Amino acid sequence: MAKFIVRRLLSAILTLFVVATLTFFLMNMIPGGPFNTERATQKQIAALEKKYDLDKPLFEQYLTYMGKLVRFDLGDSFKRLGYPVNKIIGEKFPVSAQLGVVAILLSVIIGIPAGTYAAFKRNKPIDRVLMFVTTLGMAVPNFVMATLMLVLFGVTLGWLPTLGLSSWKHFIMPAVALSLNPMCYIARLMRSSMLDVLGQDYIKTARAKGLPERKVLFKHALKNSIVPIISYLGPLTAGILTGGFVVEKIFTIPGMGKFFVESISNQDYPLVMGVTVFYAALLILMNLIVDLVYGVVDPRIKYE
Amino acid sequence: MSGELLKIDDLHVSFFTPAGEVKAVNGISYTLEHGKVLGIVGESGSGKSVSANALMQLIPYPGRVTEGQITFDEQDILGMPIQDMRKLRGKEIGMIFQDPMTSLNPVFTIGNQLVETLMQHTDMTKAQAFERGVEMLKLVGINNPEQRMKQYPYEFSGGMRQRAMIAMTLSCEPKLLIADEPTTALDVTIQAQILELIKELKDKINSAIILITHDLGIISDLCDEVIVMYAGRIVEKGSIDDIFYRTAHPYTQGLLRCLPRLDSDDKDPLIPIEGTPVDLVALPDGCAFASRCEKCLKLCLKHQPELMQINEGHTSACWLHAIEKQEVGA
Ligand SMILES: Nc1ncnc2c1ncn2[C@@H]1O[C@H](COP(=O)(O)OP(=O)(O)O)[C@@H](O)[C@H]1O
Ligand SMILES: [Mg+2]
Repeated sequence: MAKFIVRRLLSAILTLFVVATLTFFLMNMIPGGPFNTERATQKQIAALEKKYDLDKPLFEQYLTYMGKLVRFDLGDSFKRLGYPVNKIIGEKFPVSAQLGVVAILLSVIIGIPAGTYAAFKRNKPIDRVLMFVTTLGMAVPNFVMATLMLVLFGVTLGWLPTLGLSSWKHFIMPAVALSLNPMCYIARLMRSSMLDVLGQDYIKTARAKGLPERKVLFKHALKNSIVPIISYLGPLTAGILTGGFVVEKIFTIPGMGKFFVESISNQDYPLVMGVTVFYAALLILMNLIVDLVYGVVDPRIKYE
Repeated sequence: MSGELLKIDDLHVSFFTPAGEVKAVNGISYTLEHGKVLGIVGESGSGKSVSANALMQLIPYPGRVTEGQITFDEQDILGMPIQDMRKLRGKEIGMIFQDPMTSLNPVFTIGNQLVETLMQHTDMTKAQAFERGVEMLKLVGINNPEQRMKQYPYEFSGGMRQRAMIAMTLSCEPKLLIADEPTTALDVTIQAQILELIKELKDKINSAIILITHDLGIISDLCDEVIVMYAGRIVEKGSIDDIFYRTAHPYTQGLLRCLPRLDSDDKDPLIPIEGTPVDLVALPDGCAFASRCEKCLKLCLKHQPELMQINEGHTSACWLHAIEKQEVGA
């Protein structure tokens, strides 16, 4: 087990190195530079580029960056001068993560029972309704949902606050908007996985033992059918924790989503690098957690 | 104990599939006394499992009992609400299945699955149930039972799993044990061991047993009575001797020809029954076996033969018997 984790961490470092390297060179291949867009004179641009070592050979810049990266220093943002990328992530990530955790809990807590129930009621009206609703829910982009809710509950009815995240009420609309797609996907995934498991012999055994249906479903079937959901939760968590760009924008939430998008359009090199490496690290961590959870669910999985 | 434990009367089961109504069981009737062993034989697809599952209201979707009555221990099984049925399942009627590799839940320990059954049907504490589980594992010949209780199914061999299944099923001392092809998925040597175990336990637990198999060979020294099924019907019923030595139905004769015989050398070929089983969606008007029967008459194609008495306790559903009888009478 310890050996497994160490091996995974080593491979994670290698992966991060590759991600950082690729991003660095690809980013520099995009025409233009971080200071070109502003109304600055050639001279000013040259001065800025000199200040940030952008006039040095690319490979030298790369070495400097990687040197800092291994010391967990992501450098300073070009756009917000003097603002370290570490600090931006440190401030914005918790905001996105808070909302993300609520959204994930919501999708899991509703998606799993809904899918289980649909499987249990296979082909009955309630199953058909659930499948229709979830298809719809997967097709509606989250910003459409966010806007609809904002207009209805925020503006027209005035029930819910629309700005920021300062109370639990503020979480409702953005969290629902963010969780809609994954919730529906989880429900459908759960249904098909559950249907598969419900056809297994050990479910027949459980019923033949006289167990109540509740126990058959939520003990014997659930633990077996949850595996695909766990696999999906890894990347989902990494994605949602780092912020839904549009949803954060609609509800004016000072999260990380915005920086993902703006860093690229601004060609703010250190910020692009920073958020990419951070996202990659988070994704790797989540996948490691997923693999460890597999072992909890299925005793046949051994870590060697 | 003696007297009637189970009575099945004109049971029909169908599966309502998009391709049509699959008539899996078409009017079977039999009775079983306390402590007796009944063998049910037939090729795969003849409705053995479905008819057995009906005893526990365990017909899978989209199947349904369309007609008939099942009386178990003076209770009407088919009319019983599901809550009452659950109290019988596992407690009064236990069932073991064909494939022990898949019939135990892979993600819970053997002990967990044993204890769960006991706690469902008795008011034992967890510790008592665990103790009882250990005893049961010992009874079915599993070494180190305490340790084995904490292991998962994947840590057991096929034969050991089937032993554990048997232990679990017998832990509540059911009045009826249904063993649905309990050895089909196992190696020949293991098969013999499991059958030996069932034989041994049969005397200790005094449950009645329904032993389902497609292999006539394995039931010869276990059963008091044998039912031969084809296309969801009983084609012949009798004692072991009736079935083996006074075989009446051409289908049973066919099944027997498929068996390797002890008194012949290996050069004698085993003769499988020609043809394929009948389509259960479109059953013929006549005898379902007619199209594969060497002795088929015109009559057989048009009219369904009913079970006819051959001897005391020996019945068979074949027109040939009627004709023979007439000849004897004439
Ligand atoms: N879930 C099902 N859906 C449709 N048909 C089924 C189903 N289960 C069984 N059947 C039908 O019932 C027939 C009898 O099945 P079964 O009792 O399992 O046979 P066996 O004698 O091999 O145990 C099969 O040939 C099949 O056509
Ligand atoms: Mg079967």
